[in-house]
Amino acid sequence: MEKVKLFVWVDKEVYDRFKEYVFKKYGKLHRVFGLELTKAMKLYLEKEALSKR
Amino acid sequence: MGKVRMCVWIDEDIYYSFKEWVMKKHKKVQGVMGEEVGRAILLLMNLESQENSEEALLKATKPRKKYIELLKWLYNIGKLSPIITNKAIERWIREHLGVMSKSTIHSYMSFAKTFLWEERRTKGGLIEYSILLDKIEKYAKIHNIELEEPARTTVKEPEPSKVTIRGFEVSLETTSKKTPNQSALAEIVMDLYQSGYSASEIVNKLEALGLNISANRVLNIIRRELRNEFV
Repeated sequence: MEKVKLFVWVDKEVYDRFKEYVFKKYGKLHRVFGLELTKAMKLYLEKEALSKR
Repeated sequence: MGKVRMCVWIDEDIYYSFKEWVMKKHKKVQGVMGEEVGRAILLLMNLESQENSEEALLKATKPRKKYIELLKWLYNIGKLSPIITNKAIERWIREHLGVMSKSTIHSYMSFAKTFLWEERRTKGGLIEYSILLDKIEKYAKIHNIELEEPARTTVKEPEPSKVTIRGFEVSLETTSKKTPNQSALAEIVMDLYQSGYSASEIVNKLEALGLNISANRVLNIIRRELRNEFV
């Protein structure tokens, strides 16, 4: 699947917590940080679509 | 709160669908994309941590009686309509628990927020929450709280006070009694009405919640509640 670069400004606290969460889960950040973010965004879209129904 | 610039490679499909959705929601992308990404991150972490939430909930001490009342009310209202506003919760705390102090209301709200998921905020300070029924059930199970009201034994209601005028018996009791569901519905309708929604918009909102209520009924509820405020 094609990848694109996402640039966003997020709360430092959220960013740090997320980094910690990914690191705890995989023991690394490289290649998996984007994977987890994609998962989060997909989940959020699904949840929003569900709540609209 | 400080912000940091996040630069990540993500799937193209998700990126464009997310961007499109943000555009649809806010009519812009700049300035809000990061906010929405932040929410997505929190949702993921929240859901993942729910797997271990039972442990965390077990650690929490058993809540006070009034907190349990609030929890039961949230659960019952959540079954009726999954969305609730902060104002509705605060009003219930004031009216039913008799709490007037802002700091105490705040502590009740903090407790309630454990079982709520913030959906959206409006300009008037109104926050819409969805009620996490599963979480309430789990918490109740851990602390042996009965969420459902026990079946009540039927007690014969006392006769309303009556007077006889010119040979006719006239009842003095004029106010109708509401069932809990009716009052919950009335609270939701009044909240939406006070937030500036029109009757037809309220009908649409309720329909989205799975409640099919006619515009006339909505108007009747609003009239009745407004009348009751002045009685």
